[in-house]
Parts: sequence; structure tokens; C-alpha cells
Amino acid sequence: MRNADNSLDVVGKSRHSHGGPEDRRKTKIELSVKIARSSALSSSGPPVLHVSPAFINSFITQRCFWALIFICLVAGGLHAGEPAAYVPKLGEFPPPDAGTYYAGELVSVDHVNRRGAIRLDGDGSDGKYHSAPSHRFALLPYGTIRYHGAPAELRDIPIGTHVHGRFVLPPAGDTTIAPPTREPQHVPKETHVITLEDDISFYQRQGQTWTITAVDLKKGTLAVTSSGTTAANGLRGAKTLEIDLSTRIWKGRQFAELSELAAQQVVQLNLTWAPEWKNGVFHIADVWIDQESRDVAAEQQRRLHVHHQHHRWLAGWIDHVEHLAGGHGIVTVTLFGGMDPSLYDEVRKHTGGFDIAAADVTLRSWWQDHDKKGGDRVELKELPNPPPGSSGIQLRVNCWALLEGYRPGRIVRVRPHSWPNSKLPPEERIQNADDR
Amino acid sequence: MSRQDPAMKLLMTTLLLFATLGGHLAGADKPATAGRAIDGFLKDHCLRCHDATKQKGDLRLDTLGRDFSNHVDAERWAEIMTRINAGEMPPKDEAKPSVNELGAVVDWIAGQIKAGEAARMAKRGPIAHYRLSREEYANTIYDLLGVHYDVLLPGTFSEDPRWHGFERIGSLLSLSPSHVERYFKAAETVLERAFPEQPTKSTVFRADAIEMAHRNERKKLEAMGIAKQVRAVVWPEHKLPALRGYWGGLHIQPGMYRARIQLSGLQPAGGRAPHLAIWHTELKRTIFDEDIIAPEGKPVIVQFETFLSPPVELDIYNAVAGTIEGHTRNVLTMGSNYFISTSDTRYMEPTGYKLTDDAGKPLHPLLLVDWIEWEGPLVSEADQRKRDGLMPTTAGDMNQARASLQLFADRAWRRPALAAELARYVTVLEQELAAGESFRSAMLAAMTGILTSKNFFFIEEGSATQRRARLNDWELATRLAYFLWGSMPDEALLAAARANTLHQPEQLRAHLKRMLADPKIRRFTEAFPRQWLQLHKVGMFPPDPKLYPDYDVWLEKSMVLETTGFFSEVFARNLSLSEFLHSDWTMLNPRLALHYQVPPLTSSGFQRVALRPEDHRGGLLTQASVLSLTSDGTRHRPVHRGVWVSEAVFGHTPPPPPPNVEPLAPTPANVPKATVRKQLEAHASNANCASCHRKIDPLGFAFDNYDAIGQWRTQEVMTAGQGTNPTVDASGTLPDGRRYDGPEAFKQLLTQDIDRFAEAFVEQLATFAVRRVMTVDDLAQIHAIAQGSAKDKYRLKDVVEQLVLSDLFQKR
Repeated sequence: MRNADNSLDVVGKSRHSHGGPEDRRKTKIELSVKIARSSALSSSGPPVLHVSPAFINSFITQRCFWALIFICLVAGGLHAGEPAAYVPKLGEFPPPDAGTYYAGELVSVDHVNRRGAIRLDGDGSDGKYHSAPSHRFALLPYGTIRYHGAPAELRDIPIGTHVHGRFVLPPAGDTTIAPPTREPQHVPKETHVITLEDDISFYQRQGQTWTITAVDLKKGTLAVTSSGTTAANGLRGAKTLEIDLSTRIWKGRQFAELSELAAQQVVQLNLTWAPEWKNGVFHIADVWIDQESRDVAAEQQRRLHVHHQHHRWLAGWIDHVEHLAGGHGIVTVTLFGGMDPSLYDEVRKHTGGFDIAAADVTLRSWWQDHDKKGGDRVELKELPNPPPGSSGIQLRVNCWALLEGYRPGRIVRVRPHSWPNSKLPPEERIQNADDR
Repeated sequence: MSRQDPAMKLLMTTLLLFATLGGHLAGADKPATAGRAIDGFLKDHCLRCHDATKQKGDLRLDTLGRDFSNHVDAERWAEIMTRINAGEMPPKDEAKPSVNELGAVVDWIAGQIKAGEAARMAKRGPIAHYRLSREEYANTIYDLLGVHYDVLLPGTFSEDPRWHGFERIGSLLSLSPSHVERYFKAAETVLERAFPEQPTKSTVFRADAIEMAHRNERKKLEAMGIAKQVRAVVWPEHKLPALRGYWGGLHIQPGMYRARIQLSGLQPAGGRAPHLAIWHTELKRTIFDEDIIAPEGKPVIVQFETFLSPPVELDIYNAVAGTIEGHTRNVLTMGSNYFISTSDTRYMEPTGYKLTDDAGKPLHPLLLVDWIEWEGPLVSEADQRKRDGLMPTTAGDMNQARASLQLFADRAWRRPALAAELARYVTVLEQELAAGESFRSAMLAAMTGILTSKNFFFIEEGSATQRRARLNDWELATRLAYFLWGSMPDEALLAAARANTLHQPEQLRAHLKRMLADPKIRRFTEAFPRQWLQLHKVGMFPPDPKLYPDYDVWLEKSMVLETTGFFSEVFARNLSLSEFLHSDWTMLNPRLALHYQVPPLTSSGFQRVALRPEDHRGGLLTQASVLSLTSDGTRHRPVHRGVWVSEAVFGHTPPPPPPNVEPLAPTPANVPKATVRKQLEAHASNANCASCHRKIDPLGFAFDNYDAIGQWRTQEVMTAGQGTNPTVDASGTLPDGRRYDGPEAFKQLLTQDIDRFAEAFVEQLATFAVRRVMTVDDLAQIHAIAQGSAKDKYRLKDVVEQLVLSDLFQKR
């Protein structure tokens, strides 16, 4: 992110960068030291770097400063300072503070397997931008996606969308994401995603808005400053962003012209790549200039999502199986969170039968319309204050037959009998062991 | 009357006959009494309309013949009995004879008819011919040449006719042209296998779990690092290839093969043991089966021998009625579903049925197969020796050929072949050679002639030139061998016959002792109880799967095996015949243990199990086979059970029911539920019905605690009707007035009648042994044989010995 004075923030770490140049320089130094300390604390063995402010004031020159930044990044990784590294396990939801924040532009998507890659936000580093591979990720089974302010699937998010996510280390033994072969220092080890959101979803969820301070169509810039509740992480303060005719202006239930943009408008933005990405510069892909336009976008996405889930069924995992005589049993499932509330309401209201299809960690199922088993609902419990990833809904179903996939921690997809029992497109089905 | 049809005419005649009957037989209970009193009965009740002056319906009774061995007389008396049983007598407007009177008359007529039938069936001329049953044919071929010939194969031999379960009654085993054709085909096949053109070479081939279950995935499994861990899992009602023609290195030739299978069998808690069945896909039948209980870490090796002939395709089948229904991907494709351990299921298809719980315990009966090995064709030294001397060692040597044919005919015909008899086959040999056939082929043609001679497939007793009652030693050797081994005499017996010493009691006793100890005695301990107890009827009415969902083929087979195994055990330990009536043990396998709800067995196979009073079992009468063969697949049939007990225990066949008796109607939905017994009692309130039912039914009511598949119950479950299921009443009163309350008490009463049972048993044993129906002329002998073993409590082998040493056995 390039600030108004063309200086750089480390993404997500610049919390007090609103003073003059000297203040900013001190802040950056303090920040760097914090990063170094945190890095040392967060890992078991690396050397600890102790640097006193006096030492810094006396000896650090501008060159030394950049060198120190580099050392800190190498020693501690990009985002040391986050809580102790969390390793996800099947059958266990993460603690509320789990995960490290990263942001970047979505550059590739394997929506069937809920995998993709982002180009991390620029921080001025040539190596990171020009040489390092994009940051590949896999969504955890309970990982949620929001787009345009509503629940979404990975395939709903266009390539090029700037997204924010919380990332954790891979589960033990997981080889989903191969380690980078070059510039590993620029590629985070946290490859598994708990949440992924576009800008509007990210900021709107946290109550942060943008207020237009200046529109310069000749230069192709839009000056904004953050307003509302300041979001944890992400951009804040005054920003100058690129704009041109490719930018969609959402107004009411339709698109508008750039000329509709005006100072003092409180807007939401979706960002994308700009030539100066390396230095934190963004281009604006979308601007929502009123509440109605934001509601329309969210509702459209919500409907798409509900349609998708009705056919793919809600994902969850097995908590417990009570084995009864003759291969029957009562299966307890906790549904994952992050879906549209109306879907959970449908589950709550459905007192009839449910089907449960075996799935894998990518949420893909085999031949769910054919292979699912099910039975009558025995009980539906609501867990108060569910952890991240959980809907809090625990369902007990008396199944007339049990599948191998009904084991604690295994992923399933659940259908109230009122939902469609569709055969999914072949690309989405697991067809053999090699697909697992 | 002139407008009446003949049937009505006969009916009226019979009515008039009974209208004249008085009460001569009132109080008569025994058939003998009825026999003595029949003249008075006829005089008082019948002759008014059926004597010299009046013959209503063209029936005259004062001169009606009483030679029941005469078919015409017997049929007329049978018609009279039917009219009485049907309730057509006496007519409604005449005084009815009492139940006792009617019962006595019917019993007398039925007894006479049975005796007459026996006399007809036992009638024998100067030479009696008894055709070998197909089972005996197969045994004889094996003992003669060491060749297994499967007589159950389609296109071989048809099923033999039975008389009260016996498959070897000479008067029934006739010979038809189709038999002769099949004997030719069988002889050619057998001799080709015994004397193949090229020596048979035995090979061994082993197919591992990957070959059986994941044939095209070996490299993939090796790459996954689990190739050595993979086991082929077979869940209920599912199959796995056990033998395929495309398996490299396995070239099936006709012959005996030995199969060895290494596998584990996991039994779910409270559930059935997995059941290994080897299924022949061509013949559509199981050629081997056994329950398997073996821990996952301690697999067992199961071994059996079977005859194989290409084309052959076998499957390993887990023949347990499963709760796994429908299908999922792991049923559709074994691929992608790799079992390595109950504690590590990560290679199992998640959409497949869950086979083990989360602690690794089986949820279904599972077979885990490691490998199957086939070895064959097997030719044992013993089998090879049977062929020694039968094929000349020098091709073209006619002296050797004559000697070989003589030896073969002597053995095959179980007596020395006369020179004139043999000359026909030497001629065949010469003609074949003259026609350009090879020496081997010509010899086989001559030998085929010997095997298709009546001297082979008929047992002959007697001679055309000399009327004699006693068997000669050759005949005695044959009778003895077919009685106990179901096959031809061995060389020792033939040698004794040759020496004319076999008939000597000490010689006979010595040979009997030797034969009882021979492994071939298993043929007797299997065949006799199967025929005596009519076990072929087990499963004749397949139980309704809705009423008896747990019933399956293996249970049905196990029922029969329990009974034959029980007989074998009584035989092996030389126990008393009273064990058949009541015992504190039985022979069970895990499947039957589950069926009987006795403590589960921890190992597979049949084993002797001690019974507790609360198990409600013991003896033959409470075995599921007997209880099930006397049921109709839907409900138990007390009357049939009573008839079975009457025949098997008391040796008395009750009069047959009248024709067109309506079966008990299903209970309507709007009336209270009532036991079958209650319904029968209502039916038997009619005096004509009661005359027989009062004797039969109590023998069956005693087992009302057992349902149609022999499971214990205290309530009779009824699907229709109102109210709760009625409580079973298994009490009753025997015709002689003795009361019982439940099956245990009933069996105690039966054991008090052990002498009567022993005589009935001897009659059945003698029928099996001498291949004819016993007649009134045999009763004294039967009594003497039973009495001969009474002093030592009727031990089974003693009874067999008494029979063999008796005149009944040694006479024609």
C-alpha cells in the first residue's frame, strides 16, 4: 500500500502511521523491532534480536533501516506477531484468535477442490513481487468465503479480486500445498484458510467504510479516507486509488457512470491489481456508492449461494456414531458455519428425514444422490457461542445404514429431505481413489 | 336314486351302511380289538344295506375280500375309510357311532392297508434286483476306480424316488431307457478320467488378495506401500473370485482339487459368524461352506477337496443374510476400496458400508481373505492303486487284457464274472481293435460295457435255478457294504465271500467291527438319519421372509447337519437310542447356537454342546430340522408334528386325512387372535375328525413352544387378529391317558416307551439295510433284534450288530 506521501506500510501492521515523516520513521523502526521480537517469541529456536530505541536513534540511517526490515522479514517471516501458530485438526474447530491475516489478489482458483492462490499485497520488495510464487492456499473444510457481503463459494469470486483471509498452518501430514521452490522467504507457511473475503465483505463486516475526499478523473485517481469503525488489519486512513472506465459504479439497482462519484460520498470498494502493486498501489474494480447498491449485490450473491448449497447440501463433520444392531446407527453431525442463515432455518424447521453423504476435506462428495444414507432426525441441538467454523447446530440422525465415511472427524454433506437430491456434475464428484 | 350320479350313489350307499351300524366297538381303543370286532361292527352297522340281499352303491361287505396285499380289495377298504374320515358317515339322520368306535374302525382299516402295501412292496421273486441309488453309484465308482463322479451335476442322474424318505427301496428304483443312456455317458466319463491318455500332472496356484479383489491395481498398491497389507474383505451376501480361468498358471483339468484358503472371520457382538461358501457359478450351487471365526490377527487356513471340470468359475461368498442392502460405490467397484486393517480404514471408500465401528470392532460378519490356493488334479496313491492291474501294461497283450477285464468285472459286479459273461466284453475289445481303435480305446470300450451291465448297477439277490431264502456270501458282502458304506464291498469282504466264510457269525462280527471303524462309515451316519427322518423335507416350504427374516440357506443346512451330526455322535460313542428322544447335549455350530439362543460359540464348525434346561433342547424332537420340516413355512403344524412323532417314534403311520380337507383359514383381522391349537381343537370337535386327531394332535401340541423354524417361544406371534398374541399351551394328554406339560415332560414320557421306540427304530434301520419295506412277517425278527440290544440300553452300534447278525439281514 502506497501512502499519500509515497511511503510504505507493512500490510496490516501500520497502526500508528499518521504523524510527520520523522514520526513515521520512528514508528516504522519500532514496528520492525516488534516484528523481530514477536518472531523470536513465536518460534522455538531462532536468535532473538534485542534493539534499544537509543541505539536506533544514534546509528540507524535510512539504509540501515531497510536492511533491518529485510533481516526481520527473513528471520520472522512476513507476519510474525500473530498468536501462537495453530495447526488444524479434523473434528476440532479453531480457537477464536487462530490464524494469521494475509491479503492479496486472487490469481488462480480450483473451485472444485476449494484451492487457489493469491498474490500477496506489495510491500516494496522486488523479490516478493517479481520472483516469489503466488501464495497457494486450501480452504479448510469449515473455511468460509464471503463475496459482495454474502456467503459465497470460491467459484463466485472473479480472478483479480483483492481478498483478505485468515490463514493457518496445514494439518499434520497434509501435503495439499507443496512448499515453494523459490523465494521461500516470501511465501508464508500458513497455507490453510479459515476465512476469505473480498474488500466489501471484509470492511463492511467490521463497520469500516470509505469516504471520498477527491475525484480526479483526468489523473484517474480517487482519494478516500477510512471512516466508520476501523477494521482490524487491512487498509485505513487516507488512500489514493486508481480509477478508470473499467471501474464499475454500483448505484441503486444499476451501474452508474464515473461522473456519479463525488466527494463526501460514503462508499465501499473492491480493489484489484495496478501496475504499482509492488508498492501497494491498487486499482478500484467496484465502487458501491449507496446502501441500496450494496444490498442488491449482497442479495444477488446470497441467492446464488443458497441455490448452490441446496444442491450440494450443507457441510459438516461427524461428531459421534452410536452403533446399533445390524449396521444401523445414530449419527451426530455438527454443521459448519458461514452459510446463509436461511439455510440453517430450513434445517431447524425440518423435522422429517435427513440424508448424509460422505465427503472429503475439499467438501467434494462421491455420488451423493446415490450413495447417501439417512433416516429420521432424532434431535437438533444449538450450541451457544459456537467456535469459528461451526454453525452451532448439532444434528442427530437415525440412519438405516452406516457408511465408512461416518467416522468422527470425517466430512459429510447433509440434506433435509425437502432439498433436491441431485446428481452433481462429474467434475465435482470424486470418482476414484486418485481423486481423494 | 336313479337321477343320482355315481359319486352320490356311493355316498348314499356308505351312509346306509353306517345307518345300520350299532355300538359294537364302543369303547374299543386298539386296532387289534377293532380287528376282532370288525365282523360284529359290520353286522350291526353295515350289512343291512350291503349284504346278499341288498347292495347299495354296488357294495357288498359280507363278502368283501380282506387280502390287503390284493390291490383291488385294499382300494375298496381305503374308499370306505375315506368316507368315514370325511364325515360322510354316518348320515346325519342316523345315530352316530362314538368317537372310539369310529377311531377303532379307521385304525384297523389303515393298519391293514399299510400292511398290505408293505407286503406288495416287499414281494420278491427268485431273483430280486435293487438298483443302486445315484448316491450309491457315485460311491461305488469312487471305491472302484478312485474317480469322483458328480451325480448331482445337471444332465447326470435324476433324483431317486423316495418311500417315507428312503431312497433305496428296490421296488421303487426302476430302470428306464434314460437311465441306460446316462449310465453309458457316466461310464465313458469315469473311465476316461481313470485312464487318461496323458498322465495327469498336478499343479499348485495361489491367488492373493490383490489377485482376487484388486487384480489390475497391484502396481498402484505397491506404490501406495500397502500391497502386502491388503486383505480382501467380503461382507454379508457379497462375493469374491475364488477361481477364474484367466488366472495365469492355473489350467483346470477334470479332477479333484484341493483348495486352501487363509482368512479371518470376524463376528459382530451378538451377531452371526461370517459364513464362507464356495459358490459354483456354473452349477449355481455351493460346493463347500463353513462358519469362520478367527481373529483378524490369527487367520485360519480352511481346506477342502472338490471335483472341478472346465469351464469352472468359483466365488468366495459370505453367505450370511445381511442387513447391508442396496448398493453403494464399494459394492459397485471393489477398486478404490482397500482393506488393510480394522484399525486403519483410511483406504476404504467413504461411501462404502461401514464395516467396523470406531473402535475397530466388526459391525457385520466379515471375511478377511489373504489368499486361496488350488492344487490339482489330485491323484492319491490309494486312488491310483485301485486302478492297478485294470489296464494292461503292454499294449496289444490280449492275455493281459483278458486278465484285466476279468479283474475289473469281478470287482465291479461284486462277484466272480463267469467266463461266458466275460467273453462278451473280450469280443467288444477285439471288435474295437479290428475297427482300428487304439488298444487303450478298445480296452475302455470293453470296460464301459462292464460298467453299463445290469450286474453293475443292479444289486442282485437270489438265483434263477435255486429257490433259496438265505443270501450267499457274495450277496451278504454286498448287502453289508451298501448298508454301512453305501458302496461296493472292499477286497477283505470279497475275500471272505470268496472263501465262503463271511456268513459265519464270528467272521461276520469281525468284518462288521472293521467296517464300523472305517472312515467310509460316515456315509451311513449321514445317509441313514437323512432318510429315516426325512430331512429332505427341511426347507421344502421356504419360510416366509417377512415372518422369519433371519432364516437363510446356511441355517437350513445347519439344521440338517445338526441332526446328522447328532446321529454320528450317538453312533461314534455308541450311545443309547434314548438319546434320540432326549439328551442333555447336541451338535451345534455358531449359526445354530444363535438360532437357539444358547451361549455363543467361539469357534467355527459343529461341536458337541452341553445343554441347560433353559435351552429347551435335547434329542431329535426339539431340533430345528424336525420342527421345521413339520411346518409349512408360515406357521407350525401340530398335526404334522404329531404324525412325524407317530411314525418316527412309535413306528405307526396314522390314517391319512380325507381328501379336500380345508386348511385352517388365516385369522381374520376383526376377531381375537387364537393359537393354531385353539383353531385345531375347534376343527376336531367333529367326531369323525376327533377319532384321529385325539391320537395325533397331542403328539404335536407338545412342541407348540417351537415356531415354524424351531425357535423357542412362549407366545404365538400372529400377524392378524385382534388383541395380544396368545400364550402357547404345550400341555396335553396322550391317548393312553398320561398327561404332560410342555416338551420336556413329553420327552420324559417318550423315554418311558423306549422299547416301543427301539422296535420302531429297528424297523427303519432294517428297511434301510435290506432295501425293502418291512412286513408283518418281519415283526418277530424286529422285536428280537430290539430285544437283543435291550439289556445294554439299546446302544446304537449294538443295535446295528444285532441287525447284521439276524436272519432278517441275512435272508432275502
